[in-house]
Amino acid sequence: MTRRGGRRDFLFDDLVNLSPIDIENIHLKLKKNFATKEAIREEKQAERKQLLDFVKELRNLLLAPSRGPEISELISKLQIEQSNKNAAEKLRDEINERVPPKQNQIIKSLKDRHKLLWTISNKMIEIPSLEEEIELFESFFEYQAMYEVKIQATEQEEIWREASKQIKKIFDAIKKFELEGIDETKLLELKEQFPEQNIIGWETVEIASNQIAELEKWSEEWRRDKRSEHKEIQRIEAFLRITEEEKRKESLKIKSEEIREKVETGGTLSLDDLSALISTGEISKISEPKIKNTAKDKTNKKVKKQKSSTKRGALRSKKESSKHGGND
Amino acid sequence: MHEEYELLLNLTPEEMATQILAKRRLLADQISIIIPDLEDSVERLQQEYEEIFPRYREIDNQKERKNSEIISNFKTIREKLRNEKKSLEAAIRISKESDSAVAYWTKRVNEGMGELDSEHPDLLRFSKAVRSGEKSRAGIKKMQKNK
Repeated sequence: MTRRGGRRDFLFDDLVNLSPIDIENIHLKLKKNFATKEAIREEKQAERKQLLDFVKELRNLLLAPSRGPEISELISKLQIEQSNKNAAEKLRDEINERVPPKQNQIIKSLKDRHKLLWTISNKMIEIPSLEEEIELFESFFEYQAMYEVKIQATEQEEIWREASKQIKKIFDAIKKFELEGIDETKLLELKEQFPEQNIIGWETVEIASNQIAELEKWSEEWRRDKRSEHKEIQRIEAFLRITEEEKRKESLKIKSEEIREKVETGGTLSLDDLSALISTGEISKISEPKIKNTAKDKTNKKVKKQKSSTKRGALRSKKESSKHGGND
Repeated sequence: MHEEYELLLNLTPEEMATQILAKRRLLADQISIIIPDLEDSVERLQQEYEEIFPRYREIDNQKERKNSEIISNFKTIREKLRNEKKSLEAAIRISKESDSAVAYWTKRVNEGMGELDSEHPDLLRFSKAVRSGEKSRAGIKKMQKNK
């Protein structure tokens, strides 16, 4: 699934300007789509399994040696070729794992090493040091051995190709018999087991195999898309969580302001009010001013006392000055 | 199979070691002639470089420098000098290790490619490993890369 709005600089760039309803709708749509696809996937998997069972049963029926001596002989040949093919494939893959370079690459490596070891280059800088010479010597003979081994892989590849060709030929020969000599009872049983299938022979196997391939292709594509769709849902959910949290904090703030007013006017607080105050941290703001006030009062009182004493002093001095003045 | 490949595939370690020894001996003889030649060449080019360098700097500081012959001459001399110096360094390296290389390959030709002592391990250990069914070094490298 492609991300809406194309490339983003930040995670929620495309969502910040949308209304909450729009975002909610997008979220619901995505979730619904995801669930639908998952349900389809399950259906398709069940269908695939059924088709696989059907193909297996039908192949067994079509390749039953009991169908006649000619078919039986062809089936024996087919089994031999299949075993040859499998053995060749296994050996070829083993060799390729031991010796990964291709035959022509090995030849090129041998030529390059041979030139450096065997001849004296006109360019001094191209002449290998003793250490390099030893490594080149060792690798030259390693490549020689690698070539010998690699030839076997080519031989096995040839065997594999030939076996594949033979298998196709034998299959074509078997197909010509269509439903001749087939076990009718078992065929009837199969038809009852899979009533939706129209069994006409090898063509049916081919049709069912194509259907299986189609189902697998769909599943593979969904497996690829599933991860990105899931991520997109998670992203929108994260955005919704953030906005909801912000909204909740905002509403609590408004409520706590109302409660503060209530407190100041001497109203009674409910448990809900207290909980709102605690969760917003506003409770401290309510108690703080009171404490501050008491502290202020005390200081004021002290100041008052001092002031009064000063006043007394001043008064005294006033009296004194008046006395003095009087005397003067 | 191509004849050229056959030659490479049928070459024995002994033949290869003998050839390397012959090549090393030839190099040891020639290197004493090659080094003075290279030294002369470096000296001559160094002189040319030092002569042309002030003129090059003068033109290089001016704006109209594109069609200057001096610049192209300077660059050619500089390139030649660089290469000759590298060749001289390589020749000196070859000369220095010449005796030990000749001794090494003589020992190999006389005593074989197998493990001789701790300083002379089996030169065919990797090829033997591949032939006995083990992974080649390229195979090991690929396996480690895919892990």
